[in-house]
Amino acid sequence: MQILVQQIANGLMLGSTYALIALGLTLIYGIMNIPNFALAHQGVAAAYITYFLMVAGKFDYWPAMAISILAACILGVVIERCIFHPLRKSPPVNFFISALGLMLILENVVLIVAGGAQKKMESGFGEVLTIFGFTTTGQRLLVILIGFLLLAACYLLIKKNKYGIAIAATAQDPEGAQLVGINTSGIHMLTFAIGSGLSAVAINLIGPIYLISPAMGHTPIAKAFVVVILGGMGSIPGAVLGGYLLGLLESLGAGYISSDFADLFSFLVLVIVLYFRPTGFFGEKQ
Amino acid sequence: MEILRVTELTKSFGGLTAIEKLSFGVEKGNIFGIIGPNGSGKTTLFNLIHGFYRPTRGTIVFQGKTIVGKKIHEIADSGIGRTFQTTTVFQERTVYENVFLASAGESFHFLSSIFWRSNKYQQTFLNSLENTDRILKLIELASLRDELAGNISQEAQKRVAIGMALATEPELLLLDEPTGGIPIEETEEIVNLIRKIRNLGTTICLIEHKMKVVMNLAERILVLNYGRKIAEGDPKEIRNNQEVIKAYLGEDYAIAEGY
Amino acid sequence: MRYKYLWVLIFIFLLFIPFLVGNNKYYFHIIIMTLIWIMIAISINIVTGIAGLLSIAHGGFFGIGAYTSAILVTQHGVSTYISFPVSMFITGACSLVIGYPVLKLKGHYFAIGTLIYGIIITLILEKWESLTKGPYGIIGIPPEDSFPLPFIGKINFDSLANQYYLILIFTIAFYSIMSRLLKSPNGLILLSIREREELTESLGIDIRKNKLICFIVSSVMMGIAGALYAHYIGYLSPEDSSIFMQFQGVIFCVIGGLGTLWGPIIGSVILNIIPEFLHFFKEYRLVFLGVLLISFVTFFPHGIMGLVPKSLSPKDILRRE
Repeated sequence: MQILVQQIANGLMLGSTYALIALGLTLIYGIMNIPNFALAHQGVAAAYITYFLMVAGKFDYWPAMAISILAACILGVVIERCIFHPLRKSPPVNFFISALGLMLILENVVLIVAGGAQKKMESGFGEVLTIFGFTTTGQRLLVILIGFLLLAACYLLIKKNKYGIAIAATAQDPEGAQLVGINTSGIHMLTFAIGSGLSAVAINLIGPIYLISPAMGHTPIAKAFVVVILGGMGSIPGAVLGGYLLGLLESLGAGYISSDFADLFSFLVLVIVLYFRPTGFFGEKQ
Repeated sequence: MEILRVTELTKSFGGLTAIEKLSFGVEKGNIFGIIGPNGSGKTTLFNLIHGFYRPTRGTIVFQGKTIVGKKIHEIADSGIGRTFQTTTVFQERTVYENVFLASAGESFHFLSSIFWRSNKYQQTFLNSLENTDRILKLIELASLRDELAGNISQEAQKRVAIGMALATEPELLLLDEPTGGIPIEETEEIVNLIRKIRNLGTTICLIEHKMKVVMNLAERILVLNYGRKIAEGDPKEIRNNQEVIKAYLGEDYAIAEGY
Repeated sequence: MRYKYLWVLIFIFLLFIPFLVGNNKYYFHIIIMTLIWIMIAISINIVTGIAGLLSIAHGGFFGIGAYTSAILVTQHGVSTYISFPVSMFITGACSLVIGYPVLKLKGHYFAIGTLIYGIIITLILEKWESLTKGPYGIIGIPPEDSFPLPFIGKINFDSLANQYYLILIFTIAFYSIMSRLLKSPNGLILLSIREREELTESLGIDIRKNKLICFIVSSVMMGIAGALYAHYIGYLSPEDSSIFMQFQGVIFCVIGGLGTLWGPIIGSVILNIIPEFLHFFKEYRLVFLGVLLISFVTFFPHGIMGLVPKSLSPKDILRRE
């Protein structure tokens, strides 16, 4: 029983991370149709900013993280305007190539500036706690907590707030949205900024748990793509639930089957899901 | 002899019923017109016959065999050709390639295309070339054969689309608004082409908005409104049919004009 | 028609390369790897450029082809005359098993579906240690078995020059396959499936079957390239089947011109040879490459072949003389 709770807690933590990145990706990929393979790398770059602020600038964890998230959002807008916006009339595969180029740039700039060795972020929440009979660290709980809050906030934002509705409208019908006076350019920038910010939050939160390294974005982004597709492209509940599902699958798989095969197990499950639901759980039926 | 019989055909999308309990038959060798206000289900009907949609209820029988549930390419293979409302040709291929593709279809085995082109292959290839030439002549576009289909006029593109559908050697040809987007003055060539095709033995089903065209061409007309049949008959009967006039012009007009 | 002489010149140049390079292992390596990348790019061009299917699983097929031959030769002492055909068969079988369900998906869903399968293949290669020796990979893969020729005697493939010629022959074969395909009715079918699927289907063409055959043929081609790579370089690791390796191939195709006849060759040559002239540190080179990629697709969306005037590029389909 103890193991089960432990694995579930771990799964929720992984799930929060995946859900945050997947949510950012479903906004950018599902809604703007930009397969941004560099999204996780954007988050990693932000985490490195936090790291340097903390180590060299002597900032505390929270202020450093706040600044890095802001920087990530601004960088996101710059990326959207300079890299992806000019491609809007190109064949779709070109978005993909640009994203790969961006990935190369981000990963190697970080490598050049910070070096390849893994770095430890000290957030101050590292002590081991024992709650409800299972051991964890404060940081891990933080991931779950902030993850939940942020995802709920985003959900409300999209559903209730006028900007959120504008995002949904632009996604469904860009021309119609323009006709009713929505500034689609602005919405694109906003969507990209939110997506980048979410990725930054995710990597910043798990930074202190796992070590940060320049190439650490490779695996999360691949999983995020899978989650977005399985949840249904552009579906926010799909991305969030899918992220948590993947996190739990991995964690339970690692605990009960074997940590070696956890990854393989989760992907096989996902393949089966995709077979029965070709447009994802919440995706539009073709 | 009937080439197509539709019985109690119904198609619903969730809460919306696009076609309801539609029944009619098409005689072999006829030009059969289908008219009705916007949204009355005409294109949906074609989509159902052609296999793009599955009916919710009802049957479609073509040449004595039911075609409900078959895949699009199987239905096309069995003798139904079709053009689309929005002109669909392959924009990035030449006119010649468009028609050749339709003519050659799947006659060539993938691996033999790459590796060993047998005598049979070459003969089939020559046949397709001949067929393509024949159709280009029929649709009077032989002079434009090497132009990219995306670069020619709308009217010519429509003829290419018809030529492509013809190249599959259909018994029944479904034409969805063949004069769509073309001013009435320029429709004569297409109208003549349609007659020529029928005279060569192909049955034609025609969706049209231009009354002049359809009254001119069709021997029998089906009128749809809100997915239901409101009239069926020859052009003269349809012209004078109260329900039809009401559907198109509104009840008030009908009353005002004394119908 | 003046083209014919150009081809002969190029062919003679290619034949003489080993003499020009001499004993320089480094140059040989670059050239041979470029040829292998050309083969990869051609395979990707067939499935993605011509048929329009962005399959991210193809890197995995490269790995399956490579590993199958390597395992048969190193662990079971089989000759390459047998291991190559078996490798082709196994790659083909895997791609049939994967292709059949995944081709039900459309568009983005298809791409990500193949991504999942690609990742699964890499994971299996990593985890199935008893077969593939896990993350450490297989080492000590010998070159292909010698080939007896009349009069000349046995040709063995220990020397770099002979490896080069062997791989060159296959590369030319790959090019011919792509060229024959593009100029045939089946190539036309694939191009039209890529442009407008429903229209193609309404002409009586079974698009699922055509996509599947194209998927399998291009996968087997990847497998062959993989096997050749394995026996050239002598060692393999699961990384060689990764999705990022696949991405590289896509990049070469797009830079050269996706869907064109010469695009994959031009892209592979440029992106393999030019970095050799840039003597920056690896990381700076990669940043530069990233910037280059982004600028390129922004300003030249159709790749290098998009810049070539139509009259100079090869005629694609059904050119009737």
